[in-house]
Amino acid sequence: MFKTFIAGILLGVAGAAAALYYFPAVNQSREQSLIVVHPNRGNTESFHVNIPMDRVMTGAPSQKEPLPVGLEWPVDPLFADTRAELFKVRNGKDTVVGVASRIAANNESSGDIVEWVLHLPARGSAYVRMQAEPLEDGYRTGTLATGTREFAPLVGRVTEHWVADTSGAEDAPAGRIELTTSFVAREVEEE
Amino acid sequence: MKYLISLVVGMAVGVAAFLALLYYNPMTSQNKLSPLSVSDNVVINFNYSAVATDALVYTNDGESTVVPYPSKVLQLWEPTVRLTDTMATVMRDSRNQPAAIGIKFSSRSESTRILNGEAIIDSAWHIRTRPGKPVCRTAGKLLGLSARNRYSSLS
Repeated sequence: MFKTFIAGILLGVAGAAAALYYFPAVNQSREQSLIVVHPNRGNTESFHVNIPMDRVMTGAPSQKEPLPVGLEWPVDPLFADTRAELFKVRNGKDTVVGVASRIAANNESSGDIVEWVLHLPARGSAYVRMQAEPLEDGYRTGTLATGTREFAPLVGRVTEHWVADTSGAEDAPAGRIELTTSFVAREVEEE
Repeated sequence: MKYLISLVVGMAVGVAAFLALLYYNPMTSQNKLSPLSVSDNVVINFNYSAVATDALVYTNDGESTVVPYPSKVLQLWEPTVRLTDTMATVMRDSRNQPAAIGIKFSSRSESTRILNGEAIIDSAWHIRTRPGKPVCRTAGKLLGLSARNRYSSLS
């Protein structure tokens, strides 16, 4: 019986080690990437933010109705020109796939700034610098400055565009911010 | 029957012994030296409180031990962001003066290897620094940073 007990201990150690080795401790939920290949125009992937339901935070000075309720934005002059926002990000199927921050600022020393960080937990993060002034058609363009994991070896462009809702549905969002990415591998871009 | 009970008890002891070994394994302790301390790059130090209620906004899936702050903030309950925490906070310099607004995204990493004592968090920072502060080439603009934090898995 003692030998059986010892065998049980060894089996327990081996079983625990095998379980930790073969079963992932973290398994992020994934959505299928919805990448569209355009003729002679590379490929794009679209994300969007439904406003106001996907807005997590709007940080700006002197807000009458801060979001979320209870937010106390610092009154330091350092942040007087800064607007920081947090959103949930959706893919083309209107499914939440990540979170994003958008910071816009304007001051004499640094000029106008609009930047995004898209954080898609299963894929990585993308840091995007946008042009401060939108184009005449309402699109604001930018470039992928750097990224992590899936986005690390990529370069490319991103456009931001506000699309107002015209459906008139009672529960429809006021509109949405559309982000369209067009990324290629760095090696391809250099060729 | 007694052999079966002996085997089951032995397996339970084996699993417990293995987990204890992982927990107390001195080989899985964290590095004392940050890679940044030997970097050639300019290093900026920001301090911030890790307490959720000290942040401007902190949110997660709403079911974790740390409660979102403020209480009415939108929670990240969807399956794809359920393992993600997001925080916006004021970052301070070495004199404890406000120096930046920082937004931190933290997701549990699939690179986590409990067997190696590695519980990994994939983090990305979005930081708005003080305009005109001559600390690096991106001073006054936005500084995108990413970090991969490794924590000793069980301690």
